[in-house]
Amino acid sequence: MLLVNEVTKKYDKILANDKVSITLNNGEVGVLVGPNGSGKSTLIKCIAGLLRYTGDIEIDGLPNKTIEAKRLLGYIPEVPNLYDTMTIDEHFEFIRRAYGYSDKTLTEELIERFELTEHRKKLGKALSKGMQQKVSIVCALLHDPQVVIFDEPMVGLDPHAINELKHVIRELKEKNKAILISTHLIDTVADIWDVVNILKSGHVIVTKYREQLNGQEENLSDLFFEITENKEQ
Amino acid sequence: MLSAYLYRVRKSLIRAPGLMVLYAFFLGYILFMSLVVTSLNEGAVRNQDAVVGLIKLVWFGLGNLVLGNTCTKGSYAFSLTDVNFHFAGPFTTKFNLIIAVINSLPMTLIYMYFSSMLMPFASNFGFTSKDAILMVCGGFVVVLVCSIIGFLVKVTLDKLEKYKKVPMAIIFGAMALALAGCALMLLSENDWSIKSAFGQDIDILISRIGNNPIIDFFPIVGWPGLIVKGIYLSDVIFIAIGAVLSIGTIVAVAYIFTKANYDYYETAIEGATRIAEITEAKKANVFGNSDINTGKIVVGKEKIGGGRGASAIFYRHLLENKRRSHFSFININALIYKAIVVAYLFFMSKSHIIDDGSLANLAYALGFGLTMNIFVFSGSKTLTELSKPYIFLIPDTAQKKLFASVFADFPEMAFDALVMMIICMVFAPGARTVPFGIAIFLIVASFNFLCQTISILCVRILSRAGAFIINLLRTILDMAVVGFGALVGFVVMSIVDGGIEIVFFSASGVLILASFLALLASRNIIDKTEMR
Repeated sequence: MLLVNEVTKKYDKILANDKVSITLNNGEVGVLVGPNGSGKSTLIKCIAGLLRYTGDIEIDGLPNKTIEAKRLLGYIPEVPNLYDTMTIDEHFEFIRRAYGYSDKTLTEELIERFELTEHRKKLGKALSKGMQQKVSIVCALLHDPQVVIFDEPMVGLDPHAINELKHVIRELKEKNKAILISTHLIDTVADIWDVVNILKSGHVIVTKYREQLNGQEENLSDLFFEITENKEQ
Repeated sequence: MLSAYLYRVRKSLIRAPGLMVLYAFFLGYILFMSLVVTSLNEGAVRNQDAVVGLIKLVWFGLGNLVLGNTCTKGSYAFSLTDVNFHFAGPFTTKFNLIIAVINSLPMTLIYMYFSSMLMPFASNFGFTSKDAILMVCGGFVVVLVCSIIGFLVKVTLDKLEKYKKVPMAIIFGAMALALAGCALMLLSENDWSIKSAFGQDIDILISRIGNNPIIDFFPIVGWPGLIVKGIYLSDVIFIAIGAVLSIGTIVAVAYIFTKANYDYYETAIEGATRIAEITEAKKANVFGNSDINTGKIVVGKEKIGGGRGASAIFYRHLLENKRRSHFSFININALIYKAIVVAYLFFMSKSHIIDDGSLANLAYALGFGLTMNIFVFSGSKTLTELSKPYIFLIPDTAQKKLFASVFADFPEMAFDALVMMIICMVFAPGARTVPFGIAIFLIVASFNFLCQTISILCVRILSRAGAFIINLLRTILDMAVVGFGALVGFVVMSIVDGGIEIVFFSASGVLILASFLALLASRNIIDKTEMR
């Protein structure tokens, strides 16, 4: 379970997140959507513990900066940031060692699913951006985290990888994990989301569950434009 | 096209006044040194041959360096912004090439700045302001032309993948052969006696090597020197040959670029991407370049080999070191700087600025060596770690993660101290004792450690500040601790009535203590600082 309570983040005078609160239960796929500069990535980075903020963030009831909470978290950054001098396999070994997770079964399964088998001996910097993104995804998932946060995960991925990632997300959901996805590509998450949080100017302006939509007549995209354009007016 | 470019340049300059100040400083330094060089050593007897030889050797060295680098790595004159806006925009290839030349000017200025550092040394054999201005202006043209020729070669050879490294091998090979040829001729003039050939004063060596016909007629970089030689010797033939060859080269290059319609964009993009990578790495590193990879990394049989939790970071660093230099304890940049220190001390001793065997040589060796180490060890791996998410995400305590990252630099620091100890002992025979050796090792190793920990502390204190402020604070703190360490050292020496090694022992104690205090103060940096 992920709990974000009144998180505020300022960059000098710019208020990126203003008392943002969201809750994501286990077995739910949450989506953060919003226009550019609405504070989605900042919130994701706060949850991952990469930024300073005021407010509370809990992962399965534990403050997000504790060791126990970090062990439960998987984070896929917006821009893949790999080590230049390490091969793909070495990245996976490093993460397994760092998380004290010796079981290689999940790693091998993910390598195969994301078609990384041929590239495992290549250096991080030798890969295309899409390939690096796949490596980032595997790094975040190979220790079987309870809460997974994705920051623009579909950007740079090929159609096969997008499809595979959606399958992985569904499987994580079936395993009762909490998944939060920040994206502005609304269509790519239209079929997997359970709860949507629409951010604008650092505020959550709407939180809505899938079952609250008006059946077939309304979809995530309609909701987004309806909310953001109405609020603008 | 031009108005759009000028608009962009104007806006960039307004937004980056610091850069303008830096360039003004370089230019001011060059001008200052050129103007005062005559008065630096007024009693010196002018050695005209050495003056001409030095100018020619500077052009020879700089020209070949630029030529070799550009024809292998391509031009650094384009940024990714140039690529996105100019290459894809309504700008002709020729216009973009002019932009490349303009963009190359700052780098050329930096080359000249470093060249002008030779002037105090050159004043020993009567170098004047006129010589200085000639060396700087001529060198400026040589570097600029060589960078364009190198780029031309790179563009041509990019189509032939397997011959990419051939020109660099040819250029540096020819350079080495030319210098070897000069050395052989020098030996033959001195009855093949190494001592009498190379034991001569530095000005004589420079005049002999610099005025050797091999250097005179060395393709491209040697030809402008012929003009200088002709002017000083009032020899019209030298001037004519030099002018015809040099101007002919410039005209030929200009003709090829304007008429042949070279498609250089792909090659330029390669260089622009490399610049972007270096800039990104530098941003994260705040200061220093110890962890920036621009070279080719070869994957061998090495493995991470150990670690659980935070200690995995330690083992990962060792693996990365091994990838860069084949040994986990060697820092390539530190070694390069040590080679510069050796060259500096060699010149100082050949010019009799330092005396053979004097213990005071230690001050020169350590002063120069430690100053250069600031550039290597201040940009520690830990600061680079802060630009990636993993150190924040790993489930272990902030202290353990910090220490695992910091201690991974120890083998490199210790090896660097060992190399520095050997250099000091070679140039200061008075220091060839076991206590002195240990003292030098300790002072260098502790200084390297201090550079790293003070940098981390500064980022901890001023995490939101820009690189300039952080570096300023770091420099002040480094100097304060070293100054205090030296003071304590001299006080202890006077109390125990010991030698200079007592100063080193005591000062290194202060430096180690200060380093650990800095580390203690920054122990929560990973929890309290944001990803850079």
